[in-house]
Amino acid sequence: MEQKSSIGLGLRTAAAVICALIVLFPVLWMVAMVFKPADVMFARPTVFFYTPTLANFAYVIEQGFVNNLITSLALGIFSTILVVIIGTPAAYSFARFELKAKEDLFLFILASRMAPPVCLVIPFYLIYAKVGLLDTFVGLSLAYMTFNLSFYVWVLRSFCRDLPVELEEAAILEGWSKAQVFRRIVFPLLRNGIVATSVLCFIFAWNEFLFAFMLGGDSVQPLPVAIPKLITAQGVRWGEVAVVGVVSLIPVLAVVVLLQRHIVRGLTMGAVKG
Amino acid sequence: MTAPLKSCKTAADGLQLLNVSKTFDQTEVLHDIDLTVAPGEVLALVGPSGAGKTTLCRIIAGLETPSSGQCYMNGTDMTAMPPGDRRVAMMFESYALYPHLSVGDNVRSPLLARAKGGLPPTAGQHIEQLLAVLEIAHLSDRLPSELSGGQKQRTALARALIQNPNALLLDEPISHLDAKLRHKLRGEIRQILNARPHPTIWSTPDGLEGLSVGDRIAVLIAGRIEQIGTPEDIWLRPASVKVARLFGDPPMNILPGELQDGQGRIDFHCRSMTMTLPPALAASAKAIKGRAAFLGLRPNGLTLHRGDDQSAIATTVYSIESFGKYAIVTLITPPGDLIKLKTADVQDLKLGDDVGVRYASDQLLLFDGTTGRAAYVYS
Amino acid sequence: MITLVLVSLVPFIYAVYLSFHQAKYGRVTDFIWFDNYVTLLTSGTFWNSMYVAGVFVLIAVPVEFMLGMAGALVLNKGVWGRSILVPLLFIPTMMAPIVVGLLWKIMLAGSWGVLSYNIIERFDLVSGTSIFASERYALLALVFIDIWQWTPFMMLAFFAGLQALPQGPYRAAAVDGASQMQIFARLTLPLMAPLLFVIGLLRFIDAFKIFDTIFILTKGGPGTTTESPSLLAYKMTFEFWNIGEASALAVFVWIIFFAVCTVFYHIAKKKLNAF
Repeated sequence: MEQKSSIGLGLRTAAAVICALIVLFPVLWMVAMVFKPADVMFARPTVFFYTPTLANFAYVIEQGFVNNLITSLALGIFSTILVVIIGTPAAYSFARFELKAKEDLFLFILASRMAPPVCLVIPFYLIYAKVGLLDTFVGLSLAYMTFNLSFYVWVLRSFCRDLPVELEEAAILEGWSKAQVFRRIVFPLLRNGIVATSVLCFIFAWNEFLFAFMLGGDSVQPLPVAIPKLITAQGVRWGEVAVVGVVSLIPVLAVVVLLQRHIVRGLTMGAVKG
Repeated sequence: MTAPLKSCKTAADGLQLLNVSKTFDQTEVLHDIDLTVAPGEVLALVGPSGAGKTTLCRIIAGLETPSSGQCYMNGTDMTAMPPGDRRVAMMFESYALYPHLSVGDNVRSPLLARAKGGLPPTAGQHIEQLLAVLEIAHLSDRLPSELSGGQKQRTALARALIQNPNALLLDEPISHLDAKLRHKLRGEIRQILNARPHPTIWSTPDGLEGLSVGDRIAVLIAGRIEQIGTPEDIWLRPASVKVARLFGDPPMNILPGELQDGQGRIDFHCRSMTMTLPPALAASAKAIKGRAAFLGLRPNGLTLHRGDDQSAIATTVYSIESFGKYAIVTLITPPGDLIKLKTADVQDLKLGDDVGVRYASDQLLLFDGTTGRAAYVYS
Repeated sequence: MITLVLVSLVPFIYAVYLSFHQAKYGRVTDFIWFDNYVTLLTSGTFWNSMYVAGVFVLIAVPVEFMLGMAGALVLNKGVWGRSILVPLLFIPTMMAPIVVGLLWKIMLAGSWGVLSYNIIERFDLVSGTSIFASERYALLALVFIDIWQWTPFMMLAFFAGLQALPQGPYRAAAVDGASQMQIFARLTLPLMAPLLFVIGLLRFIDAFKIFDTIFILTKGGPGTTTESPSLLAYKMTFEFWNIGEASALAVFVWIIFFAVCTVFYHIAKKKLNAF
């Protein structure tokens, strides 16, 4: 029995590792390409072993990608902070207070989250063209709020619901004011949820392409949009593309390691409690 | 000087509820509750789960607004007062300890809330004393998640007691502890409450717990107060069948039946079985207008009798639960009603034995069969 | 709260407004009632995009579902080093879709991609230069990429769901001598139903609105074989500047989603106690 189960464990492990390798192979290949010299890049048959080079990095930096990186970071952080400031009280009130037509409003928010970004980008483009928010930092941050705010509110609401109302009632009876209850009781207990959800929001903003592509431009150009710069007259600079791809993976990796328990909860909109 | 008109209805001291009703979505959970708790008094609020005990506590605390009626505290109407201003301490059934704060900080929290410009220097000592009394002083730095059920209970109690409240509400304070701890704590807590000047409401689904801790007992069933009285009142003279069923271990046996006048006596017919009521109950029986009645037999007023006896009820042994020193025996009457009794003598009793049950006439109670209200005639 | 409504409502109302107007080349002119909708619903490109989305969703989502469930069951039975494996599997899910697109462009690039050269070309699976230029296979390649990206997520979501199941019924089933298949069909599936439902809905919607990956890999081509509704709306707006009709498409898709969400939400709430 003991032996049989350990064989089963071994088989399952082997299967899982093979699957993981299949899943991760493209990612690893891209990471390897970062250090691949241009002369073996397009070799047929494929060259698996080569002397690593940092030349790809040099070109990327030369092209001013550091600026794009900073823009990406700043956009992600700024729009996420906006979302947290506005979304936290909203999520809390959705979870706690009886509001008229709450359900319908909520469904609408959900639907706006569900709507294809293309649906949103058209009105945004026209409105922004009128009010002069095209190609501005603020404009793009606001646009990110359309999908991130509803996501944040929805997921954080599920965290709020996990808090027993009685904790807040006990504090009210002790004589704390509503604001104090929020600061002393609700906020500390929600902190994990807020961190996890807002980091996911940051990733969504970081990964976003269409809004940035349409509503951004020359002065506001986050990383994903900057990639076309690498498509030169001499052809696509694949090594450099790989560098940008890998750089854009770094925060993703950090999130995966730090927040794995919360990712499922976030991406299933709170349906699974990790 | 004439006293204000209100004072003829309102007790000057303590907690008072007048005509309080509460309706949630067209369902009435509390109906016309009148209640007074004097300073220093412990009122046990006994009722099965779902009776409205928690809602009543929440209305007093101000967490719910009554649909109608008023709450008074020491003669002042506090119906519209925000919960934070009432100085009513409530211990929640779930304890509601702040999971991110240590035991000490949990207990300190209410003092901080009311302290303007920092805690008084004596506060620390005050907390320490209270924690010592409750035997949790050594746990002061622990988080609630590191405590046992009993320790959580004590912490929640400390957090309520530290407030020196106008009124203390204990919502099922010991219901979630094991039996041994419940017995230990109900005495201990009652002891602490003896020295307290404020009115206390102690809610519980357990009738015996209510009898042991309450100066008076209010029985709340399906949103209505069925009876308020001293433990003795409730025990000896339950106001209705519902109340009678709540108290006693095992609870009182209630037989449904019909009264019939015989020659100079009154018979109680329970299906095919007939019992002659003792003379003491005859006067009560006259007060029942309809003929339908419930006869209550207290388990400890019944004795087993083997052999032939006209005055005993003929029954068969249905089950025996032995508790060592005594046993609870369930008997079945020929028409199929179950009667439970407590006895020390079960040695040669077997399932299926035919036995007679004798009843002490002062341990019988008679209730109106249509209203369920008790029929008492006091001589 | 108000901001929340504003942010999600204003663009929607404006889109509705545009969809009722003659709006071309950035100039909004006449109010034309439902003309945009009529044009849209009678055009071949619209139905083509719906077909593309349909094929995409109907292949990708069920495959992801089944592979994900199988993987989750294996993970749940116990795998050595699970705590290392699990975070690794999140990587494709959390990657930017645009980077996923680049990644597969690298893998399947015309002549030198590591997969296209070593597998596709060697075994002569697809003739021509690139799989993305093949009318027959381009859409399938996109489906494959979606499966690659989302199966691990499904697996982990189901795994989390499996881990959260109550143990009691399983012990009872074991005592009753139920077979593995019976346990799975009678116990695991019903208990997981709310979760499966929510994930299915989310994936369905996400797959339906796919844009980034297609944009970077095929731009809807060759021809219109991979032109999803999102891509069609994009082309209508930014290539043909037919904003009115694009808005009509956007509103139309939006209404479908809203209806689907509402129906599913109410079913989920009533029948399954999800959310």
